[in-house]
Amino acid sequence: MITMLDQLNRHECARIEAFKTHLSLAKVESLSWDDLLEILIQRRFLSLSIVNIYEFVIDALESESIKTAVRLILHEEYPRNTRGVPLVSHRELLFRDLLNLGASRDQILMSGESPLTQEVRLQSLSQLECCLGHVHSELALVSFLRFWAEVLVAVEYECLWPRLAERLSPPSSSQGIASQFFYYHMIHDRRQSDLGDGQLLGGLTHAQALARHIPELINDESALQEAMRQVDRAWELKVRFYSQFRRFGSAQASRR
Amino acid sequence: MSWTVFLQEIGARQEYGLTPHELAVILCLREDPGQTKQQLYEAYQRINTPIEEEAFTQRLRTIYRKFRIVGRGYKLPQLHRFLVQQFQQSEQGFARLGLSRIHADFPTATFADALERLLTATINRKDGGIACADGEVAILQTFAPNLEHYRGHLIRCLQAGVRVRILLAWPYSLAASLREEVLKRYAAEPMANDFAIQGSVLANLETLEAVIRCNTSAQGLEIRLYDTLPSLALYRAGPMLLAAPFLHGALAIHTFQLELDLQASDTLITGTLLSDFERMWTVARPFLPVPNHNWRSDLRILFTA
Repeated sequence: MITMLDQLNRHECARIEAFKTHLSLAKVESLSWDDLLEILIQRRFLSLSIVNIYEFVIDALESESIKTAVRLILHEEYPRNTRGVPLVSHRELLFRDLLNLGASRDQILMSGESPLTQEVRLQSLSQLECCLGHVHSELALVSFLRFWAEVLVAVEYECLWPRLAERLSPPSSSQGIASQFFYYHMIHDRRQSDLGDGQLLGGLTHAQALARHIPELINDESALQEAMRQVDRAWELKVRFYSQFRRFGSAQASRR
Repeated sequence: MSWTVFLQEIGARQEYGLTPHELAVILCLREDPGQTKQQLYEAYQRINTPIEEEAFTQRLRTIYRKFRIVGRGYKLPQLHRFLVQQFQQSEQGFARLGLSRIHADFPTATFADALERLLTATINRKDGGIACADGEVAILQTFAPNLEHYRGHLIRCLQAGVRVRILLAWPYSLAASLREEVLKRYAAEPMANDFAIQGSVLANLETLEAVIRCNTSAQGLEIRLYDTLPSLALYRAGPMLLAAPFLHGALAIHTFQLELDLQASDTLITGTLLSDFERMWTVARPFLPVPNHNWRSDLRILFTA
């Protein structure tokens, strides 16, 4: 018998595969570094907006236990040492990775947000408003957050990593310039396991830490449909974001 | 010697009322199990005036009665088990197992003294040109609330060439979260509700980062983190070991501590504890809080990469 969680797991995996296919349409592997940096600089606007997404969800959630899980993840973005001294934030580490990839400070700071990036960013925030006011609000919020801000982020970086690795090294490597942002997020944001798969040893990725709260919220068919809908909405927004770069792929093809 | 002394001591106790002849039989009992009645008889015959086997058997029966050995089956193994149990509970038995003292909570000064003795011994042996094989410092904890207190000792130990091994919980493990929840819910500690194991392990790693910075290298310092269930706190300084269980109601350092001598002849307790440390050491993952390096990100993915 296929359980509701099985259906959701299959749906997620199908969306992830479709997303990878979509990213491959951008022909990342053959892009010039100028084009690649343009994608990453636009992508940075979504990274900056993650804080707003997280803060909205924390305020909107009613469950204290889910709120705690979401808050823990958000606070990891702004680490402090145990004496309370603020350390370099993940936003700053992203900036460093972009510099190390070859972008200039001006390029990062003065390339404006493209209209489509802005549209995706604002629609992502308004999608959270759509999560409110119905019986499955908590589920909708955590489902959208998990897929938009964690699961797909890791997939994006996983697809980009072969190119990023031309100029950045995994942190374990003693050679080259170590990635301080992309590599870690590729690892600790990822889906890692199916919803409902419990494990007691090892650690949880961000996606898994949020996933722990989902099964108990899927108690009927309408809840399942809501969770799938949020996965789809997150997917559509991310696909839309990358669609603006298809021109790179086709320009590359026509140059050949 | 101590077994014989113990047999003489228990045989002389008034409550058992043994005669000198019966005591002579008791003194022929070996400490290790498996001695048959025939072997006991032969041992007796070798060092005492020979007697008939029937008389010897009768003497044994009286001994069983006097020691209240009344269980079914062969009585001699029961008598042996009874005496061994008494021996282990006697003072000589505890010393043989390495149990030196029991402290009500973590003996801060005692451990500092042990570290000082280890330092002195290491420096003296080095002067003599002999390497110190088992003179290591080892700590097993979820997080060590007193680690900062020993920062200076750790720095000096490393400078003297002492191996230092620290085994802590990986702060993002579910097991660490479970320990945190247990303490929050059940511990009678002040501030119990504010326990945050993540922050506490990070504080330990910051202390160790400071140790590395001070020594300009991590030479001799090994740190590993585990994702399994914490159940035991160990603090070792050379031949001295402090061990405490993780109870629901308190931090391990606020729980009674067994002070153990690792040079004890019977390794029932010390060997079991040390081998559990080694088992955890094997499954744990190496980690170094390298100064001026973004090690918090490495820490986050230690078990998920």
